Amino acid sequence: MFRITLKNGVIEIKRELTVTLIFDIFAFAYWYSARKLSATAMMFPMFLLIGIAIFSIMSFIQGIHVSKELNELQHDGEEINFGITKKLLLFLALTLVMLIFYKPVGFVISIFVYLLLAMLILGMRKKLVLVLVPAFVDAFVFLVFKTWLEVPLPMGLLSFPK
Amino acid sequence: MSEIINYCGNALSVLGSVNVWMWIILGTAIGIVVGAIPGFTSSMATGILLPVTFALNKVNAMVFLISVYIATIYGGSITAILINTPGAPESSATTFDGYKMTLKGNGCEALGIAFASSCFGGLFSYIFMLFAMVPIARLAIKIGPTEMFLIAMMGVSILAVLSSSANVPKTLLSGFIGLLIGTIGITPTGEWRATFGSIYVADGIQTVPAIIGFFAMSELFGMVGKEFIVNRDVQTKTSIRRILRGMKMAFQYPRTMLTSAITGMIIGAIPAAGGTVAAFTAYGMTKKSSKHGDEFGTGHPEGIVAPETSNNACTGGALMTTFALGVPGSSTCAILLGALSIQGLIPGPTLVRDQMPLVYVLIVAAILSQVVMLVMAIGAGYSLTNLLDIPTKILAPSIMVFCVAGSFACRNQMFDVFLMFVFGLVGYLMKQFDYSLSGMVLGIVLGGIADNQLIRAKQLFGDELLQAFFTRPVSLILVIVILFSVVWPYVAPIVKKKFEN
Repeated sequence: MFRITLKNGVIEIKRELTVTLIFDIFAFAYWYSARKLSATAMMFPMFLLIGIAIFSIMSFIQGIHVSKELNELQHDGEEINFGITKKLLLFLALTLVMLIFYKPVGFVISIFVYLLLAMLILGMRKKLVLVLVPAFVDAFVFLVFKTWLEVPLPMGLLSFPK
Repeated sequence: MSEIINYCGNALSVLGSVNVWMWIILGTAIGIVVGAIPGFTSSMATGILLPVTFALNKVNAMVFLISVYIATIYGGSITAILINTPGAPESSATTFDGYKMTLKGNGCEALGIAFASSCFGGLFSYIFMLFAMVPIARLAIKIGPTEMFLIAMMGVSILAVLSSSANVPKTLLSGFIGLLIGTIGITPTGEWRATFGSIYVADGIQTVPAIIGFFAMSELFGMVGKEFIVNRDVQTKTSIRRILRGMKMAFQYPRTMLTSAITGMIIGAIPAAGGTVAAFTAYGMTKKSSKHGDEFGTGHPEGIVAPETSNNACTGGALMTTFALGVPGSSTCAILLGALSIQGLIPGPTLVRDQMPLVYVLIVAAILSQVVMLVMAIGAGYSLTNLLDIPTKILAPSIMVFCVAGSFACRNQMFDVFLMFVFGLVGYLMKQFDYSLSGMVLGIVLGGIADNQLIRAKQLFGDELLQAFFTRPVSLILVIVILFSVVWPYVAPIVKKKFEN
C-alpha cells in the first residue's frame, strides 16, 4: 500500500496497480506505434485496447481508496515492497550480466562463471559443489543442446570445438 | 465405429516404434520427478522442455510433452501423501486424507490407492476421448471464422469465471494484454503492426520465450531466498509390497472411482477449470454422498480415491477441448497448443478435421503412458522424496541456465533470451499481485489466431459482421458464454446470498 496524506484525508494506492500501469504503458506504446495502420489491421487491436482501457479503469477504481480519517501512524509512501529482496536483486543483476556476455564470451564460460557466482550469492560455500555443479550443468547443456539438438549455441572465446 | 477402429489400428502401428516408446518413458520419468517437487508445475516443466521438441517429429514431440503433462499429476500425489506438500496444485485435495494415512503409518497404502485411482481416471478419460473425437470432428466442420474468433476470446474470458469479483479486471486485463502481444508482427493484410521497428518481432512474439518467461522464470525468482523447496519434518520409509496392497484397496470403491472420473472429465473439458477444481469438486461430492463421509479428513482411503481419479480424468477432458476447439483446458494445455503450432499444426477444429490420425496417435499414446506411469510411479514413490533435499541455491541457477538455452534454441537469437528475461520479471510481479499468468500466456498463444479469424470473418460478412455474431446459432451461444463468464463473478455472490437466506 502506498499512502499520500492530504489536508482533508488520505489517499491509499494498492501496490498491484504498478502492474496495471506497466500494462497501460505497453498498450499506449502499441497504439502509438500502430495508429496509422489500416482499419482492417487495427480492428482487433482496437477492440482489445478499448477492453484494456475499461479493465484498467476498473482496476484503478478498486485499487485507490480515498479516506477522510487521518491516522497518525500512516506516513506517505510507506510499505513499497514488490517481493524483491537484496538476494533476488543480485541474482537478477548477475543473470543480466551473463546474458550480455553470453554471445561474446560463449555459453561454456559464461554458464560456468554464472553458476559459480550465482551459487555463491545464494549462499553455497562448499568448494566441491561450486565447481562440480557448473561443470556438470555445462557438460549437460553442451551434450543436449549443442550435440544432440544441434542448436548453434554461441561458443565465443572457445569457438574451436565444433 | 469402423472409422474409430481404423484410426486406433493406425495409431498402434505408429506407436510400435521403439523411438516413440523412448519418448513416452522419458516424458513420464521427467513428469513424475517434476510433479513430485513442490513449486515445479507441469506448465514450468513443459515450458522448459518445449525447445527440446524442436528437433523431433510431430508425433514424438507431442507424445513427449503429453507424457510430461500427465505424469506431473501422478508425481504430485507422492509428496502430497508423504510430506503433506502437494508437488502439483492438482494434488492439494489428496493431502486431506493421504497425509493422515501417512501419520497413521499407512503412507505406502495411500500411495498405492493414489496410483491405482490416477491410472483408472486417466484411462477412463482417454478411452472416452477415443469415442468422442469422431463426432466432435463432424461438428467442427460447421465452425466458421466468427465461431473460431469467439472460441479464442472464450479461452481468455472463461478464466474470469474462476476469479473472485475483485480479480476479474486483473484476470481480463492480463488476458487482453496477452492477446495484444499476440497480435504484434506482420498482419494478414501485410502491414507491420507494433513491431517498434524491430525485425525480430516481424513474425510475432515467439511463444517459447513467453512461456518460459512467464511460467518457469517467475517461479524461479520466487525460489530465490528459500533454503529448500520444502522444509521436511516427517521422515518416511516406503515399501513396494505395501504400495501394491494399497492399489488393491482403491478398487473397493468402484462407484467413487466412476463418478469422480466423470466429474473430472467434465470439469477438465471446461477451459481453464483445471485439475485442482476437479479434485476438490470430486472430494466434496464424495464426502457428501459416501456413507463414510464423516471419516473424510481422518485418513480414509475413499478420500484419496476421489481427488486422484478426478484430477487425472481431468487431463483427458482438457486435452479434448485443446485438440477439438483450440482452447486450452489448462495452462499446460496452452503450452501444448504452442507446441502444435511450432510443429506446423493449426490447433482447433481444423486439427480434428484434417489431422485425425495424429490426434488418435496422441490419444492412444496417452493410454499407453498411463500404464508406463503406473509402473514408474511405484518406483518413484519408493525413492523420490530424497530429491526434495536438493537446496534451491543449486536448483535456481541451474534451471535458469536451461531457461536461457531453451529460449535461445527457439530461433538462435539473443533477442528471444532477453525477451524471456523481461517476461520473467513481469510474470514475477504479476504473480506477486495475483494477476493471471495463464490468461497472459493464453492470450499470447491465441492472439494471432483470433486476429486472423476476425479478418477472415470481415472479408466474408463485410458490413454485416456484427450481425453474424448474433444470427449464427453457434456464435450466439459462444457470445452468451463469454458474457456469462465475465458477469458471473459479480452475480455469483448475490445468488449465493439469496440461496443462503
